[in-house]
Amino acid sequence: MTPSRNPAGGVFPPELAARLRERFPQVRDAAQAAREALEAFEREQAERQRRYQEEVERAKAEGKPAPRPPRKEEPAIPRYRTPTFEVPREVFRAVMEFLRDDPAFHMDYLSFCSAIDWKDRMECTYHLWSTVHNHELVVKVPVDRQDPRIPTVSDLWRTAEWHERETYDLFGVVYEGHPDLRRILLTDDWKGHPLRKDYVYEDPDWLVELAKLRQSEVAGVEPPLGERA
Amino acid sequence: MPSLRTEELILNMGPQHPSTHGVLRLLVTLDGENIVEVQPDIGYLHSSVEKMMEHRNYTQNIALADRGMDYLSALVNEMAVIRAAETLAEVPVPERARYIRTIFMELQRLASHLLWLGTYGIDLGAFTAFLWCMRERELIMDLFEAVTGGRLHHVYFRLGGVNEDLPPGWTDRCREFCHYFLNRLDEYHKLLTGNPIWQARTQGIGVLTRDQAIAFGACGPVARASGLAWDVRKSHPYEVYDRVEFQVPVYTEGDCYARYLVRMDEMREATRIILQCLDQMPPGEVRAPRVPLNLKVPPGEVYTRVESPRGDLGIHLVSTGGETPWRVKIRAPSFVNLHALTEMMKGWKVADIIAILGSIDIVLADVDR
Repeated sequence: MTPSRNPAGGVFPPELAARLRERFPQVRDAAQAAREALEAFEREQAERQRRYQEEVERAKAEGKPAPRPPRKEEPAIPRYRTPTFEVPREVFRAVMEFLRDDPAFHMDYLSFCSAIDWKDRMECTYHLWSTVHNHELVVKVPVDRQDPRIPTVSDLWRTAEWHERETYDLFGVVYEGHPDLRRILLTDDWKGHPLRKDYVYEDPDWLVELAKLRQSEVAGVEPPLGERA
Repeated sequence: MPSLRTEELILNMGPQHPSTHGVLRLLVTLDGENIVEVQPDIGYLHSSVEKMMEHRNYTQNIALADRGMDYLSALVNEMAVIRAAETLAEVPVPERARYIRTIFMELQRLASHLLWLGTYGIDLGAFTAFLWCMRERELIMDLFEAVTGGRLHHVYFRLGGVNEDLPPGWTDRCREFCHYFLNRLDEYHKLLTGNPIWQARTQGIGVLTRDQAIAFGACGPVARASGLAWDVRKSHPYEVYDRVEFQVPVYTEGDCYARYLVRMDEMREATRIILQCLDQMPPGEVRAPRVPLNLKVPPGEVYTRVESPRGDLGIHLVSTGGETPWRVKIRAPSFVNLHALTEMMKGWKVADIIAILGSIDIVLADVDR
């Protein structure tokens, strides 16, 4: 029985992460921050365990019953198994151009771009991979949920053309400068963006109206089954 | 001499068309017989699998991935979802289960490539290939049915292993099939590879250069036929792919013939992988104990990929610690390869549309999800 290895590419080369942070100090290494937070949490847990042991020893010496052990807690810190960087919207274009063109990074392959709806905010996600160095990372850009707008990268990676259309279709993110931004999977007259968390499942009014219209059309042409001769 | 008045013609192909392999509509702009531009119109099979996954737990999502995505490589889809969840939750998996998974994924690759070869043959007017491929595919379906009970949709993989162990005698039958199949593969080569009609229809047609392949994010056999030596099984090994020997076929021509050759070579390599796995497979448990069906995945994010018969199938999984994922992004290989089609088609003749479209091997359920 072997535990699941971490096949997701592992840790991003630290010298490259430092290089990116040096060039763009606004960029936050989310995976590194999560690792540090987890380490701090584990240190705290070890400290609590140590204090508990001391109390047990003291109680033993004084002849009292042993105190109850501390409750085991699960950290609520998100783990990033794929190297993840949070990039503010202001430097987003510059960072993406740097990641693609810098020879040390050479991230020439965009796997996908999409978005995550966190209810209070929206995050645009991009997964980049280098065909030369075989390292990968995820770029996350927080945007305003009410009016999500972000510059397009379809001129840097042509993959983004369709993926941005898909994200526009399903999340309503507007990619500024995209050559042909229109719905791709849903019909042109679709209302709303289904992958948003507040999307209403029930048939919207306009769809119900349309169904009634179709039914009346059919009813006008053909008599109901029971009335046929 | 007065010049002829010419104008461009828009030809509407599909959505119901026998050669689009599903429900795909192509808006082809023609100048005489030459293709100026192709605009695929997709979404006819959209079922919003990503939204449905947000409301089901991880075990239910295995069955959903089986059906809602690429239905010709159901087991690889299951692996994609499971790999993301197992990586984030650090689920232990018994050795034997890893081997069984690898064998089944490679059998699935054979079945998928065989169906592709057969239908591509029909597209180009070679009917015999279809009958031969279906004959061999039926044997793979029997092997699946003996273990999973299903032929297309299996729901065989589980978090932390597989559903149940192989029945007695199955490994012998599988080995027998592999040796039989290697001989049949030589027959396919005799039937098609040297066939002058086949070569005339595919050689030099629909060329995609290496740079274009990277720019469009093409993956799988399409990228490998364009000279991009990349296979997820080598670059990000999972299961036991780092313990078996196999070659990644790469061709530099980038035409339909190269894509055909890549898949033919891949079938040989897949058979090699299966035989090695059967030899190496240890006895023992096939499912880790104490992995609950409603597994709670700790909060976090991961992007994992597997090599589906169509290319790099990626899952970006975002969990907030509950029984259901918060967000699942499915990076479908057919979606990006279909986008690359718009570049491949430019400048070729009307008669090449079917040859080029067939050569990228799309599954529309995978494109639309």
